[in-house]
Amino acid sequence: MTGPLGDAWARFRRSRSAVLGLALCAALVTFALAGPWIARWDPNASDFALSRSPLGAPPGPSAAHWLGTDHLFRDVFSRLASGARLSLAIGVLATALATGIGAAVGVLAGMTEGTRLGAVDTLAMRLVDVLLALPFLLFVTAVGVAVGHTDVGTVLLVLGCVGWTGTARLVRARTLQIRALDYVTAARALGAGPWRIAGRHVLPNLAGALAVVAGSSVAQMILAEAVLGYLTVGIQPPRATWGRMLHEAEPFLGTRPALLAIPGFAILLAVLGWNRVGDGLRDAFAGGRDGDPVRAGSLLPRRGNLPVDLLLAGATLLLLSFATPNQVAPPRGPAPDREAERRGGVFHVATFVNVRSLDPALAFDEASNPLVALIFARLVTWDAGGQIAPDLAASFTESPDGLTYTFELREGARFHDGSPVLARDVQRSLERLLHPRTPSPAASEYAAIQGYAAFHAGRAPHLEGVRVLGDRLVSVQLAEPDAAFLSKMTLGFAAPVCAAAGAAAEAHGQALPCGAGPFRVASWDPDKGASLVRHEGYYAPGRPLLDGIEWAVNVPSTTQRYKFERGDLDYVTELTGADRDLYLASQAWSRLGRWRVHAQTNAIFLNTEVAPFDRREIRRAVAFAVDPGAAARMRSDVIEADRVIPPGIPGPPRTEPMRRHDPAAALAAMARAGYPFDPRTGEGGWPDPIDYLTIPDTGDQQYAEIWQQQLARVGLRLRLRLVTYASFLAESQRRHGAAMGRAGWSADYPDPGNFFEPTLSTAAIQDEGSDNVSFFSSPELDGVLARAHGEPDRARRDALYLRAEEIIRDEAPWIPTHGTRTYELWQPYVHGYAPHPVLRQRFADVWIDRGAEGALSLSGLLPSRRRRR
Amino acid sequence: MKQALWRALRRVAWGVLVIAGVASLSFVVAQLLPGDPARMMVGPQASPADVAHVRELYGLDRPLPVQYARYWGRLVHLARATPEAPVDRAQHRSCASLGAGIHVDLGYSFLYRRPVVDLLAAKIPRSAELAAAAVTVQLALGLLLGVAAAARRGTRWDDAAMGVSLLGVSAPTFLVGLLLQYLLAYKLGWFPLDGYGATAGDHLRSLVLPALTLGVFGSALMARLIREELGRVLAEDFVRTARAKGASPARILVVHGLRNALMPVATVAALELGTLVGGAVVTERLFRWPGVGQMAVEALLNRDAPVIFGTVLFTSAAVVTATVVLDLCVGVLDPRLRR
Repeated sequence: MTGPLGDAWARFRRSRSAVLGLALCAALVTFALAGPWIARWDPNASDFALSRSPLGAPPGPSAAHWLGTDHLFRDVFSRLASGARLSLAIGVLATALATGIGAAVGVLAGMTEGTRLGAVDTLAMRLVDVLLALPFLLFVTAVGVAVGHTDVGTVLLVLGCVGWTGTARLVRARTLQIRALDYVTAARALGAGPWRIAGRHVLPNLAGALAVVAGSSVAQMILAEAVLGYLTVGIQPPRATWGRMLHEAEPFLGTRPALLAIPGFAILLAVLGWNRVGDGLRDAFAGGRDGDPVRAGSLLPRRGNLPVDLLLAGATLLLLSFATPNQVAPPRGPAPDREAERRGGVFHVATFVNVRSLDPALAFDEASNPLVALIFARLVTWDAGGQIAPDLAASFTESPDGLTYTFELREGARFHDGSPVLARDVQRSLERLLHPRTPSPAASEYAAIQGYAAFHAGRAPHLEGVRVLGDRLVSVQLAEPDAAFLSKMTLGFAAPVCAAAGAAAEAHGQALPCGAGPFRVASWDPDKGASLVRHEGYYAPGRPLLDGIEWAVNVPSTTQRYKFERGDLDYVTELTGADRDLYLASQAWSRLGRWRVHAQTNAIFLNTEVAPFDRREIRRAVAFAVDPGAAARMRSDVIEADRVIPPGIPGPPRTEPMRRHDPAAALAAMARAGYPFDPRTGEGGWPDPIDYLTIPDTGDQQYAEIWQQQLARVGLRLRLRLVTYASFLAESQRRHGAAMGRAGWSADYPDPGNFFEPTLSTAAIQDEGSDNVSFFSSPELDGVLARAHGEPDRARRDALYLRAEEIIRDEAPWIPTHGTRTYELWQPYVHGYAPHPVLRQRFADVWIDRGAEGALSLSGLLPSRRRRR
Repeated sequence: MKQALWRALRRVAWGVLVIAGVASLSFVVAQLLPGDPARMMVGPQASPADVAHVRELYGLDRPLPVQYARYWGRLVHLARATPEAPVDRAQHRSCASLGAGIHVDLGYSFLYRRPVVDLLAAKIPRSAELAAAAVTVQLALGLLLGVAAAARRGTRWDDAAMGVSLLGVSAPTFLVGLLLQYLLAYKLGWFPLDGYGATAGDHLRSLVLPALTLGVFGSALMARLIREELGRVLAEDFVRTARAKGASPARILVVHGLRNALMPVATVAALELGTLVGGAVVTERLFRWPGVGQMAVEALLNRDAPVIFGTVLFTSAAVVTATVVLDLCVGVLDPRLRR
């Protein structure tokens, strides 16, 4: 090869760095093309025969799986190879697109600035302004909604559209500078037109800066694809990309760092190779051009230089791969004396969510409830045996017809502001909850109270059904019997509040929460957390034992673990799966923790009005084909479920399994439906792919990938449709919105009716915002539920709910799959805490004894302090 | 001079138009996205009757143009207090006073149940601080590495600096943050794990890790850019002349070298500052830094229109300000471009 190209190639070849880069790129491309042939496993198939290591990590390298498996037991080597094509293509193409557009626009703008065509420059720069100012997240979400199913094209479009603006500004600035140079002026004087100037003078001078920008962009594009994945606009799972593999491996940083190191190293290699080739090309072409200052020394061979970057990367990889798994520090201090209760001390707890409101009429989410329970006592509560017991009401009675409940309040019960808790306070608080101006999420739970409709609509000045019979005697009259009414009175919604809280719960009220619970609020900052102190006027003498509780919010799980280890937190329940498994594996800690099973059911919902699930036999096929046991093997916080009512909720006996996994029965059901499937040939089954609605980056997405594989074996091909939470609710709750997806219900109060009525009854069906996401309507089920709603006899009620379970099993609008549990862990010096059958995180009876460390004083909301021993 | 002033005014006017346009667009798009803010406020398990009640209370059932008009109507208004007619506190609870009776009202957040101006006033300074610290880190580290590499081009120093910067440019932010937190805060205990810090000293220490996390990518990019531009400039004839005249290496680097390489550096720095001020979500979440980013994301995910409007107004203002300032300072950065 001769001529300028030949010279350039000769120069390129002489640079060892560039050649090394080229070799790297070639190796990666070969791997991408040939890898899937070498790999023995389907990259999207889980090896269900495997199980996790004792520390809870996916299995490591073995003869069968050369690089081990990921969290869903899929072969890493195969996924790496299949992901290589996508990631490399996206990285390079998106970079080329963004850099190309940016350079073109930048040069155009720079060249036309100040000339007759100056409007082009203005237009281009204003466009850049708008795009830079537009929030990325909003843009991406809008694209995700507009495009039904995202694929490589969408990803390239988004990345290309977003990535060019910075480059354009940079290029324009450089172009302006170059245009002002003397020799360019000379060229113009000699008659050179703008195109010639741009091509001959501007672009070559830009090459260096462009190469730098492009090089750094490749890695960012590969990683950006993973980000787009959580924003629901990426490559749909289960397809593998390096960015997604990196993200999915994040929880295993401590226990199986190789899972992170492998895709990370692959990305690094790609970037290094690409950058070196880019540098080499730039140096090679720069050597011979006119007007370029790098002349001296460019024809001499470069010294062999150490590939520092490769060395560093290799060292990091080695370090990560062979790092020993994270150990947990042993519990601090000697086991203190447990006998005598000690008064005093401050208890530190944290949560990773945002607690939005402490107003009991408004707070509904899992994070707020335990906090609200400490501040606001109710008339009745649950005792350790799971029965309803007196709290602020010293005694309560229910009339024989189930329509009147009378409560007698305790003497000496006081609010935090010092005033006594009287019958009229109970009336005022209930009226505040049901006031027309209160945006309460649960007003309709109390619709059975006489006069509710008129009062809630603002037509009556008072709630007719709540009557003050004496200073401390109050009765509630229902319009129709409600067997769960007392359960509803144990909720925060029914808690008495201080008079300062006003007649209605203003959603924007700023007053400090004030109730009659064991702790009162000293300070509350929604960004940092709540500081609670003992309520000296609490009705139980000598209680609570703690001086105060510090409840921090917005603390991520990893940080919670660090703080717990350093003694800054006294209790954790939101550990990451990997951290939790480490603590479970530790001898010293495992005797201090407990699993708490959630009163919650997770299920797959099948929309009975949308094909193919308008056919009962196909629904039954799904019920037989799904095996939640696989999910239970992959995560220790999953418990298989076979019925709607979760364990722990009082209901019919659970002696027989309600639903079983039976692939043969599934195939038989498909045949009966008219869509027989032959597993050996893969022929038959339902012809179209079915969209499964799920939210990215959640446990449900993982389970969905498992159900996808299991249902494929009976001829139902699932396609995951990822949407954000708000869209998920909107779509699944709309008539004909979604064919299948995740459904579930958390107990509002521990009663089986709470699991059936809002979710599976005909009354719950709406065109929009329907909680009955299967749009399932069965007159028999409705009849059973209506009878059970008011049935006072326990045995008859259980029999009715058993019938309800059987109906759901036979009709299969819901396939209950699993329940979840979390691990609670507390420091050895924490006493008096035991998981309660109904109430979560009940800290009212806790006392701490730090022994040598002594009592701690209230410290406000400092995020983290070292303990000095 | 008058021409320059006129041009500057036009540029600023365009900027304001862009801000208004982008914020309006965001409001409209957010409303059109699927998802019901009333449902997000009361949770997935609320009955349809309760959802409808809340929707009506907040005026969410009004048509989009009506809601849009309401926001703009109250955005900036006058509320002069006289002795006979003091300002009605209840009417103006969600307003921020700019003095002289001018009120700005961005409405109430559905999600946080507080006035949006309060939320922004609390969080904007935090994000701005973090952004400023991050850009400082970027400039400092970037200049250090870039200048070292350019001055010793072709040697081991050059290779080392470029190797380190290559790693910096390829590392994902969340991983960098996790590693820094693990090593420096957890293992070594030099810095707090997270949070904002109560005292001034604590506060500065809390700023370090998030600023470093955000600064890594930018400093690596800056280092490579500086090396590129500076290397090009240092090979020019006029630098050789300066050396021949006996100028010290420092003078050559700074006065002759850097001054000429300033343009791209300033562009990148300004853009980074502008965008980072809008909040760096991942870092803010990891280090529990009470900034705007996390709030903006939550608002979008929960379809909280007032907060979306407020945060987009602010973030777009930040970016536009950065670019406008950059444009106006073009003459300062490179005298050859002065008219």
